[in-house]
Amino acid sequence: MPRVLIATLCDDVREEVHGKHSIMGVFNQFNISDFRNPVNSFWIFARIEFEQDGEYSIGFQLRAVEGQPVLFNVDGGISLQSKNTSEIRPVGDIKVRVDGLRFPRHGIYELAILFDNNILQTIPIQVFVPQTPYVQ
Amino acid sequence: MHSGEKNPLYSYFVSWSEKDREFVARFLELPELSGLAPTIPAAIAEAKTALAAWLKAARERGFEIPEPSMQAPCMILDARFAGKEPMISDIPEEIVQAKTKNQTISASKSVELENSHSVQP
Repeated sequence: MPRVLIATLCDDVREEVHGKHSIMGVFNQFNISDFRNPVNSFWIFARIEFEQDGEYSIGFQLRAVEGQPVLFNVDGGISLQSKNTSEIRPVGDIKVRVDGLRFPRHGIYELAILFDNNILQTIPIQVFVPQTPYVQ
Repeated sequence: MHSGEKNPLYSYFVSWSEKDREFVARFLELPELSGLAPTIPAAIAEAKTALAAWLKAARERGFEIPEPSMQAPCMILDARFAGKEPMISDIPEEIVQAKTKNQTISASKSVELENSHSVQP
């Protein structure tokens, strides 16, 4: 079974030399004052360890925790071909950019990472409405 | 249904096809429809063309047309093969318009957070 080593939402993921990635602006909450507007573009970054090289399909499902419909459900392929024969298991990086997403309401959501319809990991996401600052 | 009927605004999922060596754009609501092209905008345009043809046939034959899964369309991009800095021009026009609408209102608000969790403003 694959194992999720890193999974997060962030503002940006940049490719560096030698296959490295820089993850910027890690967050787990959305602060939404007007639900008619989409949230800013954001990224999902996941590093997943597999037992061996091969072709795999990893799914992402964003859904509300409390009985709300799934916002999106996508599957992406990942191909692993290790360059060496070390004992370290192969890992694959997945980076997904989301543009124009609107949350229907505040509440607790979760991003599930799926493999063969099994949940590998969930990232909890809180969507809240900012409180009006108290003015004296 | 008459020809002036508006097409539903579906959301996009764009990824890279290793087999075809091209970008593939799909709709979340109709994943069987896809567009293949060497660039992301071209793949989206291909998918839109396929959707228009499918909707025409569906209306003529009385097929059920799925409702958009979200209030407004979004785009999910598997960015592993999209280059170091995906361009704003990759994003469909209807999504860019929605992103800029009312932006001045949301950008002008500043909020003091109640806890230490990181937040996307």
